[in-house]
Amino acid sequence: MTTRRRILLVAAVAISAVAMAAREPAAGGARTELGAIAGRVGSVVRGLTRRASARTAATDTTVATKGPEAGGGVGAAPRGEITPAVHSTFRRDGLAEPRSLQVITVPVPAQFGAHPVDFAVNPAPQVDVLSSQHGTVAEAVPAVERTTTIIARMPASAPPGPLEVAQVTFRDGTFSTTVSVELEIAKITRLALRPTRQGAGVYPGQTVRLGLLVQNLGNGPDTLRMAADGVPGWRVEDVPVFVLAPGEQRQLAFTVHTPPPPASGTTQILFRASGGGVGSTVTIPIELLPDPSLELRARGPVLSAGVATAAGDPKGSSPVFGFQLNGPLTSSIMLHGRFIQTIDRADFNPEAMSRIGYFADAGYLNASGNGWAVTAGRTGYSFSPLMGWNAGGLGASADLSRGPWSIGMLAVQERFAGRSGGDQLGLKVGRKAGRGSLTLTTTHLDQSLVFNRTLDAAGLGYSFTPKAGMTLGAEAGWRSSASGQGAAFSAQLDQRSAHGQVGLYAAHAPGGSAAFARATDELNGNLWRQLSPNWAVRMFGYSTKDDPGTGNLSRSRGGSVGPSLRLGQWSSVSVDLSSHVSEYDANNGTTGSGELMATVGAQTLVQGLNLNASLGAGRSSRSANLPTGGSFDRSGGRLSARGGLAAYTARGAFTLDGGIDKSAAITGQLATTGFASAQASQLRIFAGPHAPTFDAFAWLNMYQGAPTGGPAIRIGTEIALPGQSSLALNVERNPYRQTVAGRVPIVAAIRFEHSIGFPSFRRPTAHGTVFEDRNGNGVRDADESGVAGVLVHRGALSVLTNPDGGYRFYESAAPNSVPAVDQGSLPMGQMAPSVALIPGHTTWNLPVRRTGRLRVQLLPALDSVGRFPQTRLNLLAAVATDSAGAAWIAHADSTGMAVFDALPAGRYTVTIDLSGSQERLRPLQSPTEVLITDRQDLPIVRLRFGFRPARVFDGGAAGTGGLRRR
Amino acid sequence: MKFLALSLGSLLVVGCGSDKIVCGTPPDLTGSWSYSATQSVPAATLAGTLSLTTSGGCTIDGHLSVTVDDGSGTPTLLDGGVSGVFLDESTVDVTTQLGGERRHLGTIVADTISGSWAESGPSGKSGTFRAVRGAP
Repeated sequence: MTTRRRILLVAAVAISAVAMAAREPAAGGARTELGAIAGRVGSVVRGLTRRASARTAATDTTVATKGPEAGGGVGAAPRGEITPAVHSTFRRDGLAEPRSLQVITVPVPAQFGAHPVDFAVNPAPQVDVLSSQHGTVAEAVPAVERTTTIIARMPASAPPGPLEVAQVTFRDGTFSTTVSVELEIAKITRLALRPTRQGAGVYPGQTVRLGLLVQNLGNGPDTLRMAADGVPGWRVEDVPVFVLAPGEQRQLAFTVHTPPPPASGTTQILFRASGGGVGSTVTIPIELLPDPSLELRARGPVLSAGVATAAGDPKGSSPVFGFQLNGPLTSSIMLHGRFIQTIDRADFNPEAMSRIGYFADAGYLNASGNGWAVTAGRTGYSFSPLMGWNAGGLGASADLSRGPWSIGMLAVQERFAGRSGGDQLGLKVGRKAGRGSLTLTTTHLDQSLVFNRTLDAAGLGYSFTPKAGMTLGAEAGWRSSASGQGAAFSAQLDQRSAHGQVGLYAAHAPGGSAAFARATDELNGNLWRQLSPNWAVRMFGYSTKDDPGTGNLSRSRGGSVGPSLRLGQWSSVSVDLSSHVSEYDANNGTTGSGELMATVGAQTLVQGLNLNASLGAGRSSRSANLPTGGSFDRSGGRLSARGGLAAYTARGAFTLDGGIDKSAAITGQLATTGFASAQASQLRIFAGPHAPTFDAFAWLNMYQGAPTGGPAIRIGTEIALPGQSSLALNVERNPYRQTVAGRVPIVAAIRFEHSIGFPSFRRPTAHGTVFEDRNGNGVRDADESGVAGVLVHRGALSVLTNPDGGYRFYESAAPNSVPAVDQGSLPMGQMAPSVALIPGHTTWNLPVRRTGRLRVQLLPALDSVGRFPQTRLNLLAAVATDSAGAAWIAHADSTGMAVFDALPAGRYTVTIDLSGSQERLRPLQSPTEVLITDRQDLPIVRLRFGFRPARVFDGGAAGTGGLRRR
Repeated sequence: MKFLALSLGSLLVVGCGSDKIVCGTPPDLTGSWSYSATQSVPAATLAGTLSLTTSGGCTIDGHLSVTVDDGSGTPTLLDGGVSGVFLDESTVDVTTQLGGERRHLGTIVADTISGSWAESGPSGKSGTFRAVRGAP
């Protein structure tokens, strides 16, 4: 032992002796200041002494079980003579978790005999000892083990394995023994997973990056795996496996590919972190907002002008010009129109042009608003099966409604392939009355260019709703046409509920299809009924007879019935029994067809694939009778099989379909027909928000006599060009359109289009900018920039801010609705304070403030007389008061740590709120001033508190008790 | 389910009869035909190519490809298989699969087939047709 250690040992013993003497009860029970000071000094010196004695202990012993014999095994020694210190170890049984509170009973070493023994507890670093750290173990009672108890909180970062909790020094006047108290720390695996933003908004087809913070809360290193649950049409890029040290936190970024338009709505993406047999999950909602091209239309009418041509076909090389107009003219008028102009009508290729949306002879302009719509140009109208069906031509049509009244009208001239035909005029006036509606209709319709059809009719209809979901209707009138005339009538019933639907319809319309009716006589009905959560049945039947007065009479009747059974959320099977019979009496003979089939179908969803299949069998018949006496009447078997699958992925939507039919050739039908098709829609080959998508379709029909030359293939794309221009290309190779020479043509249709957005007469109902409010004054200053890509809500509507932070709502909303930033769409550390309602206001600049994190440690402290607060720390709070006087409060946890996760930048005065305590406490220091800056973690602010000063008051004469306050 | 399987099998077996068609000596319709037709409801014209082969003495097979123009400026392209039976030496019953099954009852006069057609089922579509030998 060195001289220095000897001096320390002697000093410790001497000072401890003084301290023990001082702690003897003084008059009135009060402790002296000398005792307190000596105790504290003694504690310090004991620590030094322990380290010294640990190195010089004569005996080191580890005792793993509790009992009176625990100790160093040193025999008793006469009192009044201090023997050299003995060092031993006591390890308690069982495992302790980090952060846990442990009660440890430490036996008094046997060498102290039955005498009272003083003890002093010296906690290990990072171990909080909550029990008394010094005291005296009373004189031993026979057969009772003498112990002292330590209550200690384990360090949060304690690694698995043995941990020294404290060293307890026992001593009397003779012996001094230091016992090292140990526990076994358990291995803990725990993960924390949280998003850096609570949600996101994005346009469909774009990618979004989501941040996650993952932290190893266990006390050992862990190998972590991250994964995201699959959502059909969505794709989340993988993150490799990685290792996190205890307490280590890592920020991960996931790239999420969203499905292409027209996908919409909010989808929850579930992320999973797993490692060490435990896991954690977090869900982040992503809202798909309307496509930007649709948003463009929301500003005002957009005129798209383009030119197109066809290549690869002898017909269609001359240019075709097209104009389309779409969008709101005002807040209440929507325009929609199209006009295609050919340069050389004879060189127009309608098939190729239709593939890129250019339809000649179909120009129109439609304007609509609330309760009205007017169309000029190519238009049509269907009044009713009795008063005229499928009337149309060049002219105008309109639908108007105001209050109980409604009007529908048509005034057109038949126009076909550049020729003009008959006039078609019609007027329908309706009026609601109670639960019914009365309709008066009159029409004069004449078509002669393709098929001779005429009708002059007038009728009265009534529709009645006796109860919700049920409608009864009837119409009666007079029809006059070249194909027949007479009274006409119809009646219908429609009833719908959550568990079923029933529909019945019957009509008699003289003149039939040659007089703008569907048929001369119609009777049809349908029924669908949900029998149980899994069982449903459906049936329908029909019977029609059409006599157009041309000598050609057609009749058809049939029906089907079948149950369906739901096998699970995504699977079902169904059975269908059907029968159809058709007869056609023509001038040159009579034909008849019949079919009776039974079909079993099934569909399911497996691994994101929609699968369907059906198998049917039955028989079909064909008959024919000629005026000359020839006849034919045969029947045969029929077999039908179909199958298909569909998948919706981030790369596009894909479908495969195929089928085969077998029929008896003796009936005059093809013996075998088959088809196969494959389709890809919105196929994304290239990445990027403006990358083009492709549509591809290939199909093959197989039967005796089918054209050779392989499958037909059609591929199309539309490429967005800078400046609101676009290039559309559609190429088709079609062996079913092959030339006489047998060449399979490859025909391309090309269209270049440029869009011009017109200024809107439509004012936004709310607009503004989301900006970074650096100085926190709530007003956008010149140096405060806009924040892009933030989700702004207004009622049920949502928009994303543009690159300048601007946003606009055009739709009307509730009067008191104020645009608000979706806090979840902001990165962690930013916040958007709410904006107060200003009635009539339409401009709302929405501030976003960066925040800082402030941690405040509340520290209980001994006062001058040795009192220590016993209040649970989680009853207390820290208060941060900003320069405007607004107070932010953070409650402390059980360790006394209060955390302000997101304080806006600014100057704060931090104080402690002790009102949660029932003790008479006070701050022991002045309020602390802190300056919060953007996203900066400040050092921990420590605020000490303790008891208020003791005031001892002698209440008067001795013996009256007096009053003592503190 | 057993009942259903038996029913399906019975329908198939009962219907699979075999009989030979007698039609005399029909003309050879093999080749390409220019096809045109009218449709009553909705009013439309059809124009295209009918390709026929004679697969047996009294039956024909082939392919029909047409464009349906209802005047709206949006032409519809239809194509499908063709099968037919000669009812006698100058009348043919031709079935085309153009989405629905359309029966054509045509009279053959030299290089022209003409007659009427109707679609099986409740659609009510019917009309007249004419096919002239030779490419359109």
